[in-house]
Amino acid sequence: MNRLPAPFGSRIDRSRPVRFTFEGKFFEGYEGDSIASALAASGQWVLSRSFKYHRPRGILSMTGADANALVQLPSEPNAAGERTPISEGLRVSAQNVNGSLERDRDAVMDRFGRFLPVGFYYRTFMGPRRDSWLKFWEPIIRRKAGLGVVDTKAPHRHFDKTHLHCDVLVVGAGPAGLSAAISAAEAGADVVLCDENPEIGGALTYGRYDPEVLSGLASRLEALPNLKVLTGTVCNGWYEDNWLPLIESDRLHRTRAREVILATGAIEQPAVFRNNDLPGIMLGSAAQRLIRHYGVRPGTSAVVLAANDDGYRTALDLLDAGVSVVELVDPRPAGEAGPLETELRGKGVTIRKGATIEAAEGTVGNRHLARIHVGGSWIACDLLTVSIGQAPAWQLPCQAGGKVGYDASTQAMTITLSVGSVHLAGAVAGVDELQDAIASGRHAAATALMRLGHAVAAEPAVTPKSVRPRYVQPIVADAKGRDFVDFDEDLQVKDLQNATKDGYREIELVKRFTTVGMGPSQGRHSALATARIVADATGRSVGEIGITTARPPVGPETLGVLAGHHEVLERRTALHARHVALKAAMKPVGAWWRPYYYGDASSAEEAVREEILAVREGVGLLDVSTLGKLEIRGPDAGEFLDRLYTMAHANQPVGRVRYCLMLNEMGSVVDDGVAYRMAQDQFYVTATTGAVARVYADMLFWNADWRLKVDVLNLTGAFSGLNVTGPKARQVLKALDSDIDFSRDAFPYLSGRDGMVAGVPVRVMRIGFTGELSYELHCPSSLAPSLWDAVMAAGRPHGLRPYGLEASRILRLEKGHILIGQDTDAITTPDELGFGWAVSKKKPFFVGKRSIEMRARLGQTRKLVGLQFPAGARNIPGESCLVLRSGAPVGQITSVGYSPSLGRHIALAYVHADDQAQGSRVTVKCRDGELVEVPVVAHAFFDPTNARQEI
Amino acid sequence: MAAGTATRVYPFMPGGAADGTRLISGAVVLSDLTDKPRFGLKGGGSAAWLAAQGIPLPAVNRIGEHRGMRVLRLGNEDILLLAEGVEATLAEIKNGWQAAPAPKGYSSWREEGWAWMRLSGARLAEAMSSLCALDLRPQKFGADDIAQTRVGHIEAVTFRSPTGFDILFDITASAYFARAVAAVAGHADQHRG
Amino acid sequence: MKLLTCPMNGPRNIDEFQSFGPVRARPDPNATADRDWSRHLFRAENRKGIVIEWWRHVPSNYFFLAERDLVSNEVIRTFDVSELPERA
Repeated sequence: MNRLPAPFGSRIDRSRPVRFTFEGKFFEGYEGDSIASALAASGQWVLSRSFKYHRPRGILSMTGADANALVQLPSEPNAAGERTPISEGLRVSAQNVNGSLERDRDAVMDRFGRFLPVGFYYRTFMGPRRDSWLKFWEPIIRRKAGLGVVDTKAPHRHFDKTHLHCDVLVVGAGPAGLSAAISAAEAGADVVLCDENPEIGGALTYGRYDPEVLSGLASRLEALPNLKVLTGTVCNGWYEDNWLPLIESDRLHRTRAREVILATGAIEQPAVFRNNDLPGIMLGSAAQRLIRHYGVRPGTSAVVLAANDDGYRTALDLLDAGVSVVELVDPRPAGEAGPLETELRGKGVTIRKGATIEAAEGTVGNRHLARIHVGGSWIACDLLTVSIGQAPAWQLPCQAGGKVGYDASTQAMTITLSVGSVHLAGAVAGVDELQDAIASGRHAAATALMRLGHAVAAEPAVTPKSVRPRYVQPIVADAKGRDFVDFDEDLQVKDLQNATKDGYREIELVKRFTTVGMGPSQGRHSALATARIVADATGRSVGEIGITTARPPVGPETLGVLAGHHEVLERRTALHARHVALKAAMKPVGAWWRPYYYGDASSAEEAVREEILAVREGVGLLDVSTLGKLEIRGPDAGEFLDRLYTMAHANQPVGRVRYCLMLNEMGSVVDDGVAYRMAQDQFYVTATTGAVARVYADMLFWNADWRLKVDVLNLTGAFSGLNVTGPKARQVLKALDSDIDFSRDAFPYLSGRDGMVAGVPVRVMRIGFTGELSYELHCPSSLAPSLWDAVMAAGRPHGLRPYGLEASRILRLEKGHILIGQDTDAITTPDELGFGWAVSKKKPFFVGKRSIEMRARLGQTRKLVGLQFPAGARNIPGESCLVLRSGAPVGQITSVGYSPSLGRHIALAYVHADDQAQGSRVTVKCRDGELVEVPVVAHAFFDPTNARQEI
Repeated sequence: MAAGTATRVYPFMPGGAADGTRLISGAVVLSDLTDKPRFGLKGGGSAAWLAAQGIPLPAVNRIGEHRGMRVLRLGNEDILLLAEGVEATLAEIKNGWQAAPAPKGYSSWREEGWAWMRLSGARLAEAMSSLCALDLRPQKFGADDIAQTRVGHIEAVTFRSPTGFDILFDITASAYFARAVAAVAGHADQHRG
Repeated sequence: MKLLTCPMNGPRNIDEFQSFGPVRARPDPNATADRDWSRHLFRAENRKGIVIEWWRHVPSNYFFLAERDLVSNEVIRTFDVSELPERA
């Protein structure tokens, strides 16, 4: 066991052991352990196999950023083993393994590596056949790549979305972030501080710092009620106007901050040498995290590579943890010994200066580090910690518009943000001493507070006490390779050099050719080295090369976090419960639920036929409440409709109803309905169910543009509509208690009346879609059920039957009435529909007028006509089937159905303009490819003279 | 049946469109006020007529008060009166309006087109943060503020009431809205810490 | 998500709004050649620079105008229709 005693192990609870399995073997850890730490405590260092060469991989950073430590959980692939906590009975397995982690059949790939050069995929998988990639190569590669497996039967999980608002959002609760958040909150701002770790403190929780610093900051923080701390929360992106997703496990906080302070820290960088990927080689900060967070001894016999103070502190930490430090290798030339060096030497540690690690070698199968090569000789060790430098965590700052640069004097990567509402603090701003980081947090907070209008004293910008150039590791390709730059993608130095030799000189191209930075770590541990390699190879500076564009998300996110809400928008008419009580088959039409027919599914066809028959021979009742209903009110109401619709409305008498047809500016038909003039300054206008939202918006737009004296009100939900239709409709209405005279002479076709029916105030229009005598009764929705009941009761002696959408569809088809959007498309003109009668020739202007005139001059190519199939026709084309002329498509079927009134199938179709005459025969291609000939007939298949609706 | 005596049915009543949909109660409470009286005017002449009746009109997106009624100004010429417990006062104004000669604006039919619901309960703030993207904390959104925004993914008007938030929205979406609130309340319960 | 400040409702997430495109000169339909009318219908200028656009705040159905820089996507100001200078 590699477990250390307390106080090491701040995250674990030694009183609560947790048992879990990895690759089928039992392991024990403690509550608070991550999968990787618990395995490391038991001496299991290999966590996965690498992507291409199937080399054993283990802990690199303990931050969860790399593919090295991704594991498979029963219902979650690609879980970050370094961050995911263990739980009782958790079953963990390794990824990218063929066979087992221990005996991977694909480990042989490591020896064939030279046959897998960079760009291999692009070069190889183009052939031999055109579909080889999809049919042959892709499935193989997918199997070989062995990424995690999605469990399609995973239990349902709830992902919760909420909104969060604050004056200042601070990302990162390290010393700089803590200091910034505290300063801002102490000045009275609303502050949110988030950090992906389970505790605040950042490097203060695992680095070699005075514990008083963190406890001091924590106690100030606790005293601030206006400072909300979200730990275990990832800020996964920056979007315009400071909109940031904060992901707290299964909860997404969509956060809007007025000011943002990014204290995202720095990312420790690995060193590049042969076999630098062996388990047992890890970043210095990873060793510190294992020791302090989890009480895990990272090895027994260590070599420390240290090119900065952090490396020296790591060596001291290793000694404290009982690790024997064989040697500290400092690649920098010998100079004045600092206090850390003196302390180390005092503890008997050998320090070698001006040397570096040349190569490493592993145990059998490269399962663990065995020895390293320094200055020409081999040193045996089972741990190598690497502390050679850092890169600022650029992801969020770059998304917020930050520019990556390179400071040649300090040899450091830098990030600059233009003046605005996003600020940097701490290591991401290039500050590395603790007190400087705290001061830079205060400075960022003061800048943000001033922008928010707080009266605060200006904080001086931080000027580090000592500016020392960073160490830069010279990167030279090892002759035998396996000097990895990108561990996720198994890319070596020569792969990147070869890419530049192939002409890919720009970083974005190098990335796409080699896939560098495309793995789970997204270049966190490879971007800087890549930039240096490309800079060297192309004779430019690192600043000129830069890094690839950073885009959200910063890290992987669970799809559940992105998924929308589960409740689907549903609209119900006021008569919904009446339909359900009558056993209607309810179907969704857009957001609406409408009766399709009434009765059992087993007798659906019969029900539809009976409903049609009822309307043709008796009387039917249809809920038309989903129709768009708009009220146009004001002195200019008539003028407004004149400009919007093709017919004349300004001169429409009060009490009359007119058809209205709406065009867009291109002259295409976009909607139709009727307009009932209720008063000189008031029209009640219907629009089609699907188009009303757009028609209403367009009306508001034109009203804003024209600035007429008009108010447009959408009454679609406020009013309900009942269509009473059929030869006996008048008898039903006359049986109702009403002050409206429903007689033929008093209430002629295409007129409207206001009044009371059965105690309900109604607007009645004599119009109809069925071709029968029809009255459409509209009333306030809360009274619609009462009106429905009254009509049903009055209709009972006359055999009144409610009918559904399917019967309605056939009834209108029998009359050749069009449905906008079904029988029209984006270029349909009124002429193509034969609607010349509906277009005013006298009006000086209406929307689309100019365009239809112009299009008429271009000549008409098609016409919507009726097609009537012979009784008993065997093959009936479906909607959208093509109409052919000399083999070429000239139109299509738009509506088709069986007419029980006519005993045969009928259709509406676009045909060539020359075939529009009745009696012409057109050719239609059926779904199965058969060509059938059909005669053109009059639009109104049933009652062509329209006598029935005017009785 | 005599004129004007027909029974009114609102969505959550027996026989209403949302009949059978549960209104959540517990840490988050959704109650239905859709049958409570309200009356709105919209279009040219509305503001002038109401002002002439002595009703003080607040600024747009603010709430005023008149004889126990709340006066919501939703636009220059779009005003809504809510009368919880002062039905008679509202009826008086409504009857006066019906009898008055033009110009007097036009009815906005909000009592028919909009459901009126109230969200309250111990976890009100949390539920509202999930339902609405706006910053509705007391220091940012006062008792006389109106937000015309989106609540539960649909267009809505929301404002504070003594016990919570009142929400006005498309009446045809009543059942959907009750379900959306219940789903959010379920999450709020899960995250009770 | 971008914020847009509605002159009536204040700053809101842009998903509360619907764009109705730039304010354009409307040629006299009766005095414009077919060719020019086609250009008017189908040709969007989309030049770099500042445009004035129509926007609708959907929940309140309020239409207003916004001056936007097409290069930086910065909304310079928003204002009520009554402040729109008469178009050519």
